[in-house]
Amino acid sequence: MKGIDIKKWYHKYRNDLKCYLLLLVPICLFSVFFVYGFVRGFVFSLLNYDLRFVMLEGLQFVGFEHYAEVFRDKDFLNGLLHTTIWTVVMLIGNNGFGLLMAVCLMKLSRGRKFFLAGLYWPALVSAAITTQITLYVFNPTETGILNSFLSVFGIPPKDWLVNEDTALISLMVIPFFTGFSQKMIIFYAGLNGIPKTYYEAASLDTDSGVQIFGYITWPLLGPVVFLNVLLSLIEGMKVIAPMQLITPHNDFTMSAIYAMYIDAFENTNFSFAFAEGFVMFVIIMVLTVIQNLTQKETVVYE
Amino acid sequence: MSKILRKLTCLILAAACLAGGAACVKLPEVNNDFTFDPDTVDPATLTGTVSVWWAPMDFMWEPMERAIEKFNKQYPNVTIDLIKKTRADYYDDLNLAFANGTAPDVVRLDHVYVQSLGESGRVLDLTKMTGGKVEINEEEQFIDQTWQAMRIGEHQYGFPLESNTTLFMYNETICEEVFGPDYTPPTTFEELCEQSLQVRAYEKDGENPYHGFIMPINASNSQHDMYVINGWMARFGASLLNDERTECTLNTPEAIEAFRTMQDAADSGAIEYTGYAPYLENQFIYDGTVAFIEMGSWIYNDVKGMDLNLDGESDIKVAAIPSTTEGIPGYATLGSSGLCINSTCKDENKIAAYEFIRFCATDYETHMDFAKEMKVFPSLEAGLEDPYYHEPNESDPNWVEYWDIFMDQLLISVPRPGTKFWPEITTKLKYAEYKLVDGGQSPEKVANDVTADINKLFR
Repeated sequence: MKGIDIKKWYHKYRNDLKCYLLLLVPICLFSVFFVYGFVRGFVFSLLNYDLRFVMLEGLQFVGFEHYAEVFRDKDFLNGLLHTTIWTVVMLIGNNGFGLLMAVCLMKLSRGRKFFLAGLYWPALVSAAITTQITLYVFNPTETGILNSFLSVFGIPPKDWLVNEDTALISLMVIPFFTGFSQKMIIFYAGLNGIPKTYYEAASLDTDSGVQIFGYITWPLLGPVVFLNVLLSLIEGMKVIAPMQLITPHNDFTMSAIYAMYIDAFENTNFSFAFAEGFVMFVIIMVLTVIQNLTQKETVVYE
Repeated sequence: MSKILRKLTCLILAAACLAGGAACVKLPEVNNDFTFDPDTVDPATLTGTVSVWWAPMDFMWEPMERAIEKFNKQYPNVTIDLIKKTRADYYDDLNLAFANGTAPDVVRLDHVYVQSLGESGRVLDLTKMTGGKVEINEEEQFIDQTWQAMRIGEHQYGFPLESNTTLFMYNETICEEVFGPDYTPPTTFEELCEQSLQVRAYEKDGENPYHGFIMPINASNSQHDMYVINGWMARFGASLLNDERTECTLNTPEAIEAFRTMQDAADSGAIEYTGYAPYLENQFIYDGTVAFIEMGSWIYNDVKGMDLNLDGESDIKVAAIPSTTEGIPGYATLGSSGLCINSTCKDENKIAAYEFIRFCATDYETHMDFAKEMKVFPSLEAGLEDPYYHEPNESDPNWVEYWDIFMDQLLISVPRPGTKFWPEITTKLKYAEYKLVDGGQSPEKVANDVTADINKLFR
């Protein structure tokens, strides 16, 4: 029997070994914090782990009772509605502005890097600062930026962040206009990746920028659009910061994830919160799969 | 080789899956049946280690350090492990710590949470633990409301550490400017509304510089919100829950009247509420533009230095809360926090934990130290007789000029009804307030909706 030649073996597999050694740390972290947490969370969602009752009643298996309850829970459904509105608005706003800015940047012959850096600036501002801006703009007194502007026309101050009709819209305004930066960068990279030859060939047939965009840019940008829409969907569906920081416990702005947070950490109903989390997971997964299937059918790469 | 490594990766992920599924879900280890006789405890020989969660502010930290030093002179073999939390409001942290079995032995909490956790079996029932000796030995020393505020039914869940309440404050300079030098503060809510509207209508150099009555209906601070609504309801003879805390009573005629009065006052402009701008009530006070507000003794010393007309006197004066209903005083809400023992405390440390919280609450010097530093009242009856609250002491920065008026208000203050559903009740009541003052819903609808919502919890 021939012994293993370690040197030869190492030489043959050294690249694989290096790769897997580098991957070992993230795999372990992923296993502990995501895979383990995911399965454990699912187990919890099947129990009655609600600290308001469980110490007195004891731990019990309740099956899918919490899942059925999630779809009857007014607060969660209300949160889901607001989350959906938020996601759709941000998806359209951030991607629309992002694409517009990226196209504009591509048209610039000079100063492109300067404007690119300038337009990326909002992405560097923390969520806490954005919330403060929202609070200053929609401050309910006469000193609020919007109210003081409206007072010029004799319109009395309005409590924008509390009123049922305006609360969610008020929260969305600042992120709607400032959340495009990352999308813009991705679109910009995508636009740069489209070979110039396509445009040169198209310019022989038409001078119309709209036609070129519709027949060349948009189809070839398909994978980038897919990525940005997917990112927007996930970002939107897990929104919590503006609701929690600006309008805590407000019925009119409650998001699904914030409702989940309240159920877990304030109401101590951990099992129910886990069930809400899994419902959100399934919703996001289904949306992603649908989007993936749609994208595969319509986008032509070459 | 690649196959082996790929299999290894799959194995790690599968192991994580299996571990997540197979690991037992365990409740935190508790023993609510532990009992002992407090009369037989010998401080000199008692042993144990007690971890304590405490607020981070210096004015609370220093008296606690002094308390531990004094406690250890009597109980030399007990170790107190004081854990400084990064924020004063650590209730959410406590929930998580309890779930993962790392909760401290002793924790300081607002009385509604002591009751809430007591009802959930998460803090020890001191009545059961001491065979009723906690009432026999300790109850009489305390102001009745503060003792009751740590209690549900026949069960005591904590020792009250301090007490406080709010009072009506007015800016004398604004009031004298608007109403003349013989100004007297309002004694009824009607008078307050009239004065508030006059202040808001007052013009100086063609502008309206002042705010009337600011009501902190304040969503950013849920507990402040509950403070306001609980006292408000009591002024109309209504309450949030029934005495047994099993049903919401906000659809009674008295409660509907309370909602209606709040809405009318908001609609007329007599009440300006601060909504989601929690800094506003303070901002207005500090910039000298608010005429009327209800606030606690702890804030008074911060604002008493205001002297807009430079006459050497503070502009901010205090008075009893104006009555809203004939024959019913202007009640305010009782504020009180206390020390309680988590049910996760190990048996060998339970007696030491009990002795520590009892010491902090009943050792006169220690108890008064807490109250004075926090600029509030003690919860010991004897503490109310302390000369500190009755004799002028201008040299002490914590001394409050109007302790006597605050004390009268304290003695008629009304505690909030703590239950295990308190966090949800807080949220639902907040929505109700907004629907009332900003959403244009009728008081009857708001009252019926919020009552139905809260009653769903009890069922």
